[in-house]
Amino acid sequence: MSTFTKICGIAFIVFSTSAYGWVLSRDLKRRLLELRELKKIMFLLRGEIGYGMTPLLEAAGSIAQRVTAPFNGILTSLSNRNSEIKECPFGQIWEEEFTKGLVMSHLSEAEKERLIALGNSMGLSDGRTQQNVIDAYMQEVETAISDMEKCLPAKTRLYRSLGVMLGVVISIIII
Amino acid sequence: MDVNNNVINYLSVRLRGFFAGWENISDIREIRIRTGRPMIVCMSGGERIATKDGSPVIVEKEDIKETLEYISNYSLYAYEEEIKKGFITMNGGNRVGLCGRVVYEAGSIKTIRNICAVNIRVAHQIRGCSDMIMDKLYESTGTDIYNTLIVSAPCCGKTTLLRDIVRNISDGFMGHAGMTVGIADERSEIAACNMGVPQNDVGMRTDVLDGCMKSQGMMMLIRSMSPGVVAVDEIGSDDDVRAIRYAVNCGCRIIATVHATSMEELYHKIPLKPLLGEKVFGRIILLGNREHIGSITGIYDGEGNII
Repeated sequence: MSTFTKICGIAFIVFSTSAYGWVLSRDLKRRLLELRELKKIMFLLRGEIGYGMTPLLEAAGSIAQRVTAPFNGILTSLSNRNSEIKECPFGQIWEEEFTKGLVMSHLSEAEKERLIALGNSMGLSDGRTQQNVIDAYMQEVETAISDMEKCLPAKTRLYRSLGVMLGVVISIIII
Repeated sequence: MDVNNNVINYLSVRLRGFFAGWENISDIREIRIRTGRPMIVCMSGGERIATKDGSPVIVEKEDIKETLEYISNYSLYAYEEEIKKGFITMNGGNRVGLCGRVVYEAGSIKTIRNICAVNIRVAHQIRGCSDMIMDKLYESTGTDIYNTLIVSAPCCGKTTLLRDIVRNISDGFMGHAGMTVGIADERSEIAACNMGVPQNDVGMRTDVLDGCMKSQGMMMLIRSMSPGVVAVDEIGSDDDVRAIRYAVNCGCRIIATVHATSMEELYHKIPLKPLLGEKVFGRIILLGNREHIGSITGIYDGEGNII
């Protein structure tokens, strides 16, 4: 095997593992961005319920225009379910739309499950109770954001360094 | 879509299924669902209990929950104020009465929890039911109407007649110019507003103050919308009488309804005595149900003479 081929192989391995480390660190950042967007959604929803008494599906349509992917798509689909003849409870609609829309999301599985379960507590109580439900969920999201913010720089560095080091180690073993 | 089909579509999917094959859906007047009890449908010809394989259909807790979700468009909180009064007005003017555990806060009703009984009443506006009497309500000049009091026992069609009179006055009737009408609709029964929009046809020049106390609503309407005619349902308190006097003094005409089975009973109603004594009402319409619901027993002038 020529030296040139070896160098190319090593470069390829190091590049691949580094890219993987970079992707993992980017996913972490995206997860943080999605959590922040989720907090924004809950904040807007709280306002729509508290001040406008806006029905949930109508509020979803209005909020969809003020948030980014993947939530804008999910909320738009949710608002499109606002038909004259209703066929299933809100919890089911929420679950269907969020399960579909969160496939490409960077949220953790536990965060996805919690968000999907939130639909079962929506729309069935008075305004104050409804706001309390949203507040409780917002609190959870805030805690997750705060934890992420604390560990994100370290984890980002870790993933990137591990990516590069892994490539180097594999290269040494192969050589 | 037929209004009754529309009403059925607010029921839980399970309960909806039991209406499949019903031929006389348009006769439905009320649908009563109570947790753990049969679903009862009131038709124009009497009561009918929904059955499956010969046994009554028993309403489950989940049916009530699902029905409430559909009625409130998945947002019960949006109807908080209406729930405090015990009913929700749906799209189309249909009324949903609710029963459950009443929660008080600082001496007033905060909400109804654990809702276990729902009564869906199908709205039935009868357009044209006042056409026969409209001529008698206009003054001889033809430009103005008499202050009018509609009198009947409960369930004899007072509100239905009032609504149609309002519509005719507002749109203009048989060459008479339309007039601006203000409705103080305390119980949302006249215009049946849903999210502020009248679901019943109350005319093109009609403004509705929905859910507001009659006495306050009349004064607010006069100050804000300058109506030519003010319409209110079921007057009876001293405050109502004061507000009517205020409206009349401001140059407004009044169309009102009151509970009484006869002219004698009407003249014995203490709060109304001053108004009747001063002959504020130029026309008094007495309704009965001898021939049919809403049949007119007599139309009287301010002196109590039959016209």
